Amino acid sequence: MAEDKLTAAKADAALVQRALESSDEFGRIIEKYQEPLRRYVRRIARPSPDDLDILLQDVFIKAYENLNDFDTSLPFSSWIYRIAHNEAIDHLRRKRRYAGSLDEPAYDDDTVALADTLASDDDTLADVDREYVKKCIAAVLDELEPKYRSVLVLKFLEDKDYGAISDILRKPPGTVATLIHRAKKEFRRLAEEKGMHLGTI
Amino acid sequence: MTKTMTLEKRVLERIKAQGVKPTPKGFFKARDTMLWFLVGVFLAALSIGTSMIIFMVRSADRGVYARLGLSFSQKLLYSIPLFWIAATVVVGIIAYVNFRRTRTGYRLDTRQIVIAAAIVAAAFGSIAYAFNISRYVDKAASENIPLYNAVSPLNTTRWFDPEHGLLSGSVKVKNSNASFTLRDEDFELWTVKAEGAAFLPAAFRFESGDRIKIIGKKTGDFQFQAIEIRPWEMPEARPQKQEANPD
Repeated sequence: MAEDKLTAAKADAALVQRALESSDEFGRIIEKYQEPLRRYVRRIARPSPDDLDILLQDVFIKAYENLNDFDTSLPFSSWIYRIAHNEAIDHLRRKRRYAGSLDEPAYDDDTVALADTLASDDDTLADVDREYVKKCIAAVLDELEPKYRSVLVLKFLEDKDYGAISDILRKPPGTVATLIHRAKKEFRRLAEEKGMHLGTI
Repeated sequence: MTKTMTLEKRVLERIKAQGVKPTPKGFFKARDTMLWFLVGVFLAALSIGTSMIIFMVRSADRGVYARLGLSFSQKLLYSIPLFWIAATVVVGIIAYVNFRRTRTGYRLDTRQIVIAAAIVAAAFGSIAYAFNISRYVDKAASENIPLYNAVSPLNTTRWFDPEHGLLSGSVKVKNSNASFTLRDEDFELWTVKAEGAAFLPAAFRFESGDRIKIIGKKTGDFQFQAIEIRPWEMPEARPQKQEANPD
């Protein structure tokens, strides 16, 4: 596992080096990270499809501009997720300021996995209308503060460990743990308010 | 796949069209160096602030408070170096913010940073105090920061309360050890009778132009009878006591 991470880190460092030498080589980085980042940005900022495309372009252009700031002691993935996170949060703020509301929540099948995780161990969503649950979870996530939504998405949907979340959000690992704990609690509270009883479904 | 290619293509086209270039490594190195430099500067300031708190607490002239007729709570308040505590807290917050902005500053939690900063400040603050740096800082602050003189326990204001027997200023004309003219901080001239007055430390003698502090009694308009005369800046407290009580 550690070896895989090391190999991935070396491969990313090589990609960065090549991208610094030629902008065309930066295409490989876009190719590798556009899908995970598209998913992440959509989950955090919930932009319209057009906005999402522009947002992703901005993320990659910012990454390209700051390639020399990439700290090789960090996984490249955490570094580029951090840029995407900041752009997504900025987008969210701008949107709230100017529009006052957000687009329809757009969550995929993975959102059900989040509810599975947040539910008690011996209860699963197997017997429930998954579409209904998906909508409810999307609505709950939508109501969460961005700081809580980010940690839940990173931990349970993006499958990042505490170290990676700490690097992405630039928060100490202890704070990340606290945020996840509070986010889960808040998620449960909002879910119960909406009539979803995670402990019983 | 088409969309995948589209994004990649669009980004690369924008990079070329807008002439976007990676920011040079030197810029980031300079930024990181500047941040660490600021952290160092503010840690040094934090240490100086700590040395000033030590200095103020250790050299507070508590005997004088009795002459001011202060209540216990007032004495307690006067004994606390509010100016330096406030300055140290402000500097500490700036150091914290700068540290947080460094490349790895986010990895430590606030408690760890506060403990580390407190250890550094206590260690270097004690060294600064031991090397008398706090004495020079106190002098510089008292000469250059008006607010400092208003809130510091060893300030001119507290030593300028003739009604309660405290007078301070510069010796204008020294006729003899028994009589001299003193210019106070408001540039008023006082005639001071010093016959029989004690000097603290005993070996202390002053000349025209010296700044001094006097404990005594106001005898009339701009007339003062000195009981005890001290230099404006007291030498080390411990040696004084040894001088006063030689074995």
